[in-house]
Amino acid sequence: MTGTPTGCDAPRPMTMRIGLPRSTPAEDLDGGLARERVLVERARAGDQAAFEVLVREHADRLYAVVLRFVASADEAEEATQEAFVRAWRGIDSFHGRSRFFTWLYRIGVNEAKRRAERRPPPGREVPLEDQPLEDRPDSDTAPHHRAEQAELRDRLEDALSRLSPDHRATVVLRDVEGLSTHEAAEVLGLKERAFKSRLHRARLALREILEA
Amino acid sequence: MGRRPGFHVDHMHSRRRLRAYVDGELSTGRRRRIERHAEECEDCGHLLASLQRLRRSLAGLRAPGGDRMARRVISRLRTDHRERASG
Repeated sequence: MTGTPTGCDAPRPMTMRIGLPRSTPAEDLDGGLARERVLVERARAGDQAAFEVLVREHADRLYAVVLRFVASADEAEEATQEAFVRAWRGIDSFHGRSRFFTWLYRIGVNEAKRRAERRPPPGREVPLEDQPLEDRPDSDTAPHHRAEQAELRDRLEDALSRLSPDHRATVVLRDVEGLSTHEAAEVLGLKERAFKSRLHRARLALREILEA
Repeated sequence: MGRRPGFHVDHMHSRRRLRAYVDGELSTGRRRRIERHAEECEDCGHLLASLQRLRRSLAGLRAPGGDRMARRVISRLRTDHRERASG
């Protein structure tokens, strides 16, 4: 896979610098991209503090993605840490042709899928009425409604876990994490057209599991 | 029940573009064509509604952000560096 680090034996020299550019979630896309490029360039030069800013911005989201492929929270943490270690050691191979986070997610998702493929898929099917979490008529503060929401959420999570790793990855990145089609396709190393086709098949498969 | 002329053409058109519709990628004209067809075709109407609900429900699974993992990763990176630097 192009751009994916394959390891580096020599420890990267680390320097600590201050004065990193600041941003907010509401910043414009160009500003965010410029800031990201500065951070990546500093990290490529061995600036640990710059890389740690990138870690703070992406670690918990990547963990949430990885968690949907592996057997436990401990394994997800291990895989997430491994992804960042590989990213740090291999950041010289990231040339900025894509967003940093799509490159990072590719490392993390590949690691997670590799682990998931080592496990047998769950055997039983879980029926679920075709009922969205948001469309229930009662107040969402009512205790019984919260319990129903929790149950539906569990069933949806369970159904998601029954998808193949390839199908799950498309749905998790696009529908759960909210990446754009372009970003999600880039993470998975697919052309957009192929990604869209796989996404549609994955949603239909998920719907079939839920309605069984 | 009789179908209006062009029903089958619209049916095939809608089936091919349901994903694009759900993802908001279609022009207004194409959206309206699919909506019109979904009103008279039970299968397409059901599938479209089902896919829209599924998307909304999946978006609700997104975990809230935090910094717990970031702190652990940073700790691991610093440990890793110290170990590699000391040979």
